[in-house]
Amino acid sequence: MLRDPLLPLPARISERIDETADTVTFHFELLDEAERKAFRYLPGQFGEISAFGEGESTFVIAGDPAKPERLTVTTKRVGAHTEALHHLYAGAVIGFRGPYGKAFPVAEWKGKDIVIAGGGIGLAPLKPIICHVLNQRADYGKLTIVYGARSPNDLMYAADREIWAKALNTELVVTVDKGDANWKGREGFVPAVLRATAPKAENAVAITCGPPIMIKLTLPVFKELGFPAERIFTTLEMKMKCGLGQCGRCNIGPYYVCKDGPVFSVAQLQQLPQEF
Amino acid sequence: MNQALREAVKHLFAEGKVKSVLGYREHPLSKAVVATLITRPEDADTLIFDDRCVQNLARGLSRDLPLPVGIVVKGCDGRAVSMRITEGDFAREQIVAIAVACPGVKADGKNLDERCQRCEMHVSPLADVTVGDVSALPKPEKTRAETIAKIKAMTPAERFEFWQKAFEPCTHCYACREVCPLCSCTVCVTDQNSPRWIEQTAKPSSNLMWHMIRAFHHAGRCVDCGECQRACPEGVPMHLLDLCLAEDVEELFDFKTGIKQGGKWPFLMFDPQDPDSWLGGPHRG
Amino acid sequence: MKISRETLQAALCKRGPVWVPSDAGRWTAVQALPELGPIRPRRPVKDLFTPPRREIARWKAGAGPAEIQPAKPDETPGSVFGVRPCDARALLLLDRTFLQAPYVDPHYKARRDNLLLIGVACQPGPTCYCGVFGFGPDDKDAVDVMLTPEADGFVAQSGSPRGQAFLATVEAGAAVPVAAPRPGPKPEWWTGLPDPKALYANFDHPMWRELGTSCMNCGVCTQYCPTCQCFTVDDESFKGEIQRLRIVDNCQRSDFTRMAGGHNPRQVAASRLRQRVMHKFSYIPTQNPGLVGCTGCGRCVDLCPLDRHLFADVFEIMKRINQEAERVA
Repeated sequence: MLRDPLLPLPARISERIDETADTVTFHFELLDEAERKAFRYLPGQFGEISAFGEGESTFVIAGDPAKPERLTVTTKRVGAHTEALHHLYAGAVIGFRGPYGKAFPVAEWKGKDIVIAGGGIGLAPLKPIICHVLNQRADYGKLTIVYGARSPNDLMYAADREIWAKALNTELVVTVDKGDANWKGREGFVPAVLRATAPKAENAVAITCGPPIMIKLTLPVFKELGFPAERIFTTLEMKMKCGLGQCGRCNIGPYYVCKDGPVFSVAQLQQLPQEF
Repeated sequence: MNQALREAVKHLFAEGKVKSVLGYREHPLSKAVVATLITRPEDADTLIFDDRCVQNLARGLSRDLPLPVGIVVKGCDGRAVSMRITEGDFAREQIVAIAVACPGVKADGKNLDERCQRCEMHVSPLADVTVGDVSALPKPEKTRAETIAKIKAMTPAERFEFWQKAFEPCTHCYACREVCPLCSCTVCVTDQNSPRWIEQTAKPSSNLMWHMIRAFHHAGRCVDCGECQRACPEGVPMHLLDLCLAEDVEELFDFKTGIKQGGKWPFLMFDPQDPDSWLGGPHRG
Repeated sequence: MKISRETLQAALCKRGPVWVPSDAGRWTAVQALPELGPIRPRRPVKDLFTPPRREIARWKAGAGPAEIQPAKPDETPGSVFGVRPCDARALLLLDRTFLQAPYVDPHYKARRDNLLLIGVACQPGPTCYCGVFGFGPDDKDAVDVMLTPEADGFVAQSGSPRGQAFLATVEAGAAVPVAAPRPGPKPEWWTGLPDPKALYANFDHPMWRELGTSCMNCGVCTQYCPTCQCFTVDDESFKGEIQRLRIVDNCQRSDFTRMAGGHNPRQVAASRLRQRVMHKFSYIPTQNPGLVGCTGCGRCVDLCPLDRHLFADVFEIMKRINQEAERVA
């Protein structure tokens, strides 16, 4: 019998990490053993998560694709549903549907340098790329990560960043817009720090994610550094609901962001109506 | 009438009194009468006014329009504009009211609209310019009290059943809200989800909630233009509920909606001495 | 073949529930075939396949995962009597979305598999324009059986193998010659459909804003359109049970594309009207050559509270684009 693709799979939260004042990362596992063992996803794919009773929301799967039994989402409290999610702790059961969406073309990037510029919670969709590259270290060239947030309290993934800082052939630059009394690190906006870091564009791909204003100012820097539009990637933020390419909500131009994206190269984005 | 209207509008443009005008025109292809916004005096020649001009143009008013904006208003429409000014949505000088002598309109093309049969104010009380002969306008054939008499005569139980049945076909399309000039909230109560006050799928509880709350939000503000009912694709008679409340508000507060601009209006009036025993709850002594 | 009303009624009732348009224009299950009006009812037949509110699953509030009860697709055999060609053709468009692997909608499929579509030819009204899309009031390509009303019953033709099988079970009346299908009505001012690519190239044209000032995005056109198919997923609670629902949605709503953080790419009303027109007349034809997201039923024209003629607006847009292209050429 056909399974309703809108039916959620139950999953149990195994760990909750309060990254910042309004951002929480949940690690969870599908309850059904067969589903859990069979589950696979690629960097950039997303799922529909639900706190039962409050509807569903779209979140990128921000985990390590090499360990697909453990799923991860990082959620910012911005509305009724995320508010409900933030009331949940380890042991609570949530709903999950996925994986959906076109992934980052990591296979095509083999042999290239990878340059990542992330801001705030925008690091979430970029984390799976970093995990993948570090898992297949020999397949990729230099990994450069420029990551910034508004303040030291808004920086995420502290434990992961410690690992990245020490990884092979990897340069991690962390910055904040404005430091505090204890901050000994860099200060500066991500676009400026990216420019100063000056990663080489030759045989490299660029990926960026973050608040719209950050992306708007970062893309010209990548262009300046010599990255052509086909080699700069991002995830398009558009409201998505079903994840199946059916409900119409994320329709833009002849495409569905949930099916033909959310990963797009800047060259592809330039072909779309500039609505977003 | 059309000629006089077009002259008046051209005159307003020439004197720099308006930057745009909201009026009616006949669509060249469909031949239906539709709303139009003109920004050049020569386009005034497309304007018309006759008994096909059913729509309440006040719903098209927005601060995004080139201001000051002229607006062709019938009696009911003008009262709506007046309320929007009273409520602070517009400054008086942003609006130029072009009041037309309206003998009543015919939405079905044959019979005078029900609300027009009751109309006591064929010409807008808010009028910067008046067009047409205001001396020969018809008197009302019936009263609002007569229209709602059968509902007023029902027992509370009968009324509840009446309204449940009346709202049953509602599909929550919100055309009634969109077409109403007084539905001007930035975020409508039914669109809020934190908390969710009213569910939006069509079922008896949410149908009743939506129309009840909507009527209450219009108490003392509704100008009886009847657009809500005309817009409804399912023929839900929500306007009757507005009429019942309008009757009560006029009586209790001695207030006629949209006649004057400024001052207080019942929706805003609050007195700490107002009785509230019906609120209930342990905190009420 | 000729078939009497009584014979048809008996044969359909034997299959199961017969869905017909009620007086109020809504699809209701009956035992007796009603007299139909001349054209399509107010509610499109899609209501039986993508209902306004459909349950996905339910569970008791506070319950654990074992309690999730998925809704069962309705596989009751039955039929729909009084389907007009415009509504039936619209179902073909819906099929492209909901019967598409890998995400086939089992509820939609169950209804499509089990409800026989009995079409009835219409007497087109002043706002009908199905002829624009290449079919007419007798079109049988999207129904199982097409009936042409006669004095004492109908002349029946099969439109599909399933329809043929059904007619074979019915007491055969005399075989009669079938009249040639009538061409569908077109507006007198119409000269052609807009080119999807030209529309796309003119996405930022200022005329969209002009169009938008006299549309109030009430969404009634979308609500009653037989091809519109957007939906949302949400939960509702009632007496201790929570239902996860698939709810038909409307792209004209101001918050349709609003994201949780507040950003809304289609905040401006005119942009939502543009999205509707572009989706139907540019994006759908681009992804499905030969198809348009409209079947000319005319409900949008009949029901627009502002008396707009949406198709006339689309035509005017096309004329403007063509005129400007000619000037440049």
